[in-house]
Amino acid sequence: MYNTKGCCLFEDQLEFFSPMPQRIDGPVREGLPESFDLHVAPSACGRRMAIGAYRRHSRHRRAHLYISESDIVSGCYEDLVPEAVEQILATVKPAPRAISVIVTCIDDLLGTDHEALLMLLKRRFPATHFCIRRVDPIRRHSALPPPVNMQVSLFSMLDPSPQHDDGVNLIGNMPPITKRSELFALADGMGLTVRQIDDCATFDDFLDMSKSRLNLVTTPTGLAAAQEMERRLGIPYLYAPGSYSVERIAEVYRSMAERTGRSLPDLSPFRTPAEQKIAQARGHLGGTPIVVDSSGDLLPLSLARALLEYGFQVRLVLENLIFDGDLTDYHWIRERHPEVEIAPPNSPELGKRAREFEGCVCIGFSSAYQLGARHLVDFPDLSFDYGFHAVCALMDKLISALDQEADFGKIMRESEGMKR
Amino acid sequence: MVKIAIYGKGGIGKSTTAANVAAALSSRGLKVMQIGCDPKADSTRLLMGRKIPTVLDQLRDNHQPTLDELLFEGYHGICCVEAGGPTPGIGCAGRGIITAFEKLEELGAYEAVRPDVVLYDVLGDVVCGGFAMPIRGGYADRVFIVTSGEMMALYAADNIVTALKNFGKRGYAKYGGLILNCRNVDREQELVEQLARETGGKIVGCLPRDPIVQQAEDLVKTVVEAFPDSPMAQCYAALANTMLEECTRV
Amino acid sequence: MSQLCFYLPPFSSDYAGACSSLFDLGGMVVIHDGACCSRNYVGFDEPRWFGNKRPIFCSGLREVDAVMGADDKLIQKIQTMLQTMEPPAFIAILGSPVPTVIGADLKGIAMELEDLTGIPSFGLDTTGLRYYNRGIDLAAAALVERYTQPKPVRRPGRVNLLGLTPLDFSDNENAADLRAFLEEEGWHVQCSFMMGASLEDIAAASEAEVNLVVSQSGMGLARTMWRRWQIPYVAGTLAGTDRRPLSRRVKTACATGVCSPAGARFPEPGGVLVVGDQVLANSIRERLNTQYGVRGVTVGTFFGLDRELAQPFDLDIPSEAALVELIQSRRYQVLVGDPLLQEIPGNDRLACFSVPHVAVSSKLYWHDYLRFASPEMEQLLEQIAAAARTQG
Repeated sequence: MYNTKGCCLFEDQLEFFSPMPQRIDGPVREGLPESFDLHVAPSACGRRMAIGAYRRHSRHRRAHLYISESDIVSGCYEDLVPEAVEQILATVKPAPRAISVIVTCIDDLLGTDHEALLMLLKRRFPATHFCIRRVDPIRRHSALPPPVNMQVSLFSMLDPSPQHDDGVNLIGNMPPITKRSELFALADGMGLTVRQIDDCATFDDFLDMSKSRLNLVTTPTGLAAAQEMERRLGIPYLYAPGSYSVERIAEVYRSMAERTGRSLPDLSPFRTPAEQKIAQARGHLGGTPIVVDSSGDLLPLSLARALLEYGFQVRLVLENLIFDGDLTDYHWIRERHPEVEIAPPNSPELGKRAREFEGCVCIGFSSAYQLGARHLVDFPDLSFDYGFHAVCALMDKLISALDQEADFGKIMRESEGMKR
Repeated sequence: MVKIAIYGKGGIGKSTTAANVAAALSSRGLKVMQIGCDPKADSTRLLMGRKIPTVLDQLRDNHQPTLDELLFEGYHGICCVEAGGPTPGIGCAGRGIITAFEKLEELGAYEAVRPDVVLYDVLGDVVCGGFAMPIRGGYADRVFIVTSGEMMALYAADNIVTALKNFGKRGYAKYGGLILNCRNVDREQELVEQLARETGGKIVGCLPRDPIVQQAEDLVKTVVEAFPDSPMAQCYAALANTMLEECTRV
Repeated sequence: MSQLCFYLPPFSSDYAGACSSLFDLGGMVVIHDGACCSRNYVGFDEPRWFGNKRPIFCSGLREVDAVMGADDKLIQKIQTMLQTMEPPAFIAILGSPVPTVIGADLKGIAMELEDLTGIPSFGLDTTGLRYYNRGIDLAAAALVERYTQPKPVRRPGRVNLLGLTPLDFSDNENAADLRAFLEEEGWHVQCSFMMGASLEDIAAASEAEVNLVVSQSGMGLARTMWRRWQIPYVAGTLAGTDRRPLSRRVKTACATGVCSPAGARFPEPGGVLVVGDQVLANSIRERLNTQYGVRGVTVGTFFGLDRELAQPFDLDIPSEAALVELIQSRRYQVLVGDPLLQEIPGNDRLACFSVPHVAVSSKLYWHDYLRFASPEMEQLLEQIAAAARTQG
């Protein structure tokens, strides 16, 4: 049993935030189909999400209920939520099948009774599904930090299914796993159907996720949801967070076959090209130092370990909050590669070390920006690479990052504005 | 302007004390303003003869209240205010005190009333950020704590002194002393004297247990108003004098 | 903006306003929050963040520290950070919703820090529950209180710019245009609160002869400086290419010592609704009227109607619902304001003109921003006037 709670490697300190590119500039269907988000928060809180929603052209899927100081003091904002829901159901056409009520840090302090609120909403609007999602970064070091909590809440809307089919759910990846990943072909070869939220065309498709026979947990943030689904819906899970280690990837597919009682198709058509790409990239990069940060990958220590195993020169890993699974990689790096520095991300100290890391390739925008690095491996916000395909994509990116200089200004410009 | 905060455990008699001190000060010709900082909102009841709408009630019902809706004139021209609190079980009472204070300031309440003495009557069971507000920058100059010899009252008093000491570095309100409101507990005087010693303070006044206080309460009046010639009224007058002297002492 | 919003985003908050005010001053700024508030500021309210590194930090507040009131932890984090950086000119600690709920004593924490470090420190009670103009006002008040010469000698020819903020003017040429305009008219800009200002400029701000207030955010400071030092103020900004009316008003205020917050009186409301910051909106109205003969222009604002800046018929728009009602009321034929206002249903009956506002639409338009004193703006005014005539 894995622990969902992360642990911190470093003492708390003030944090410096790099600019955050959002390379989403076109219509995107995000999250649950036929659903609606109601943000219940002080006006300041929802600004990021709202502006992001305009850029994704999904503004029509959300509303904001601003709470004032007197609402906080009197606690009466709990009464405003059902009224807001009523207005949403009357205004939004077609009426959403599900509404996520998104609350923030202040609820943790006010001790808002979310269970009671949820019961009240369900009773008053029986045709609509509800969940309460907490976006409360003051709890980002707790057992249920916001991204973990979001998964738990979303899947709490599923009801137990009397029988299970050949489905396998992907749990935890918020942008969908790209269809270019061999995961889909291999699952198909095993007679399994892959389900993930972003592929659901209707809310009923989402509800069908309760019929799946296995949950594949693709990020640590999905683990708590999977554990809860095992308990409540009887769906077992396989913890298989995205890895760049070909061994681990192969192991995931082996376990997937074993857990579903299928025979494992030949992996070599996918594994061999990945290994070839690794060799090619290693040759191309030679001794180029590499920096890995958590804006590049959810599990930077796991990524760093894989690169070190392949013979790349990883110099610096920026990570603070790590999960159970990643702890093994942390110790592995500490023991086998004591020369690799592990430092906290968001530290302003980094900006002073540009010279030291001159010529490095940074995996992740944040470290690259702070170090003023010329070479950047950047990740798109719209899809999530997985499996051997992710390895190939990363190697291609490493090669092209070294060949061409990063244009930070261009990345930032692309993350602004709104394409109509 | 002299600014005094009176803290104490709920039910210890701090509102009765505050109202009587306010009435006594007012009888000396001083303009007094009393601000109740307890969600129970009955600090000024004896001065008003009734409960008044609170700042938070007005904020909730009417987003832009005026001073007339927040300040009420009670016995002898004493200006009465109740900060109020949330619906029990929800909201945040501590934050409510801050919100009420900020509203009073925003509307220029102190400039409008121009009091000689402001009395903050504060619930001292929980000394969180909100309930510590009257101690903080610019509000009270001196804090007096009403206590009896009962354990819970002593405990609350000690907590309040701790909060005062924690704020020591910030140059806020000073500890004025203890007001002993006798409940006729065994060794009461001794216990409270001990607390005074341990907290580096002193007993500024001792209020004997006197049924006349209850008689006045039944009339919804202060002793000072209802029985001005009684020994108890003299007692409150003496306490008011000592407190005022303590405040003007450098 | 109160209650339920379907079409418009949450606007820039008071902590963003305070942060952007302090951006140029060489101080260390700490937003006391979990992460979201700081990310809102750096990613969505500060067009200057990319390419500029400023010691503006997130305190990394955690639930347990909030509940336990661990002020000492914040102080210690700041002290640790100070050891690794050049000494800042000052330290400012800004509030957010969580410190607001627990009633954190930011001013007291600042006092302690100042005692410990010897560095001037401020606690600003920003809340995340109010808008950017309040944060700008809080920051300016604290700085003026601390740094500005209390008994100044008046220096002829000096003018301050008040309310100059990227949240209204973005970071294109707008700020430089305002300074250049004043300098070309023979003024010396003493302090431009707060874009391009220094603490030295702020110290000497009380020596100015007159204040030019270019946004609602500058009005609080203008009134303070009028009360304390009798520096008269003019509220107005450049809109289009004709600078003469504004120039005349500044000169008159300086000569007579009389404030001019709203400029000329306009007799009537009308079919043109300009929604945004009152000062820019007033200037647009003034130009539409004097240059193009458009008579009926109503100004509306989300950011708290400042009566001194308003015509009697101007509108406080306290909620999105209020704006929806106005747009659907058929009282207006022309709508001028941030492009996101066009998301509101019913606007298709109106002729809509875009004047982006960072405090509303954030990064969606901040680098595609109008230069207010440009021929392009003049052209926009012409188009608005033409639409007003056709529609009217």
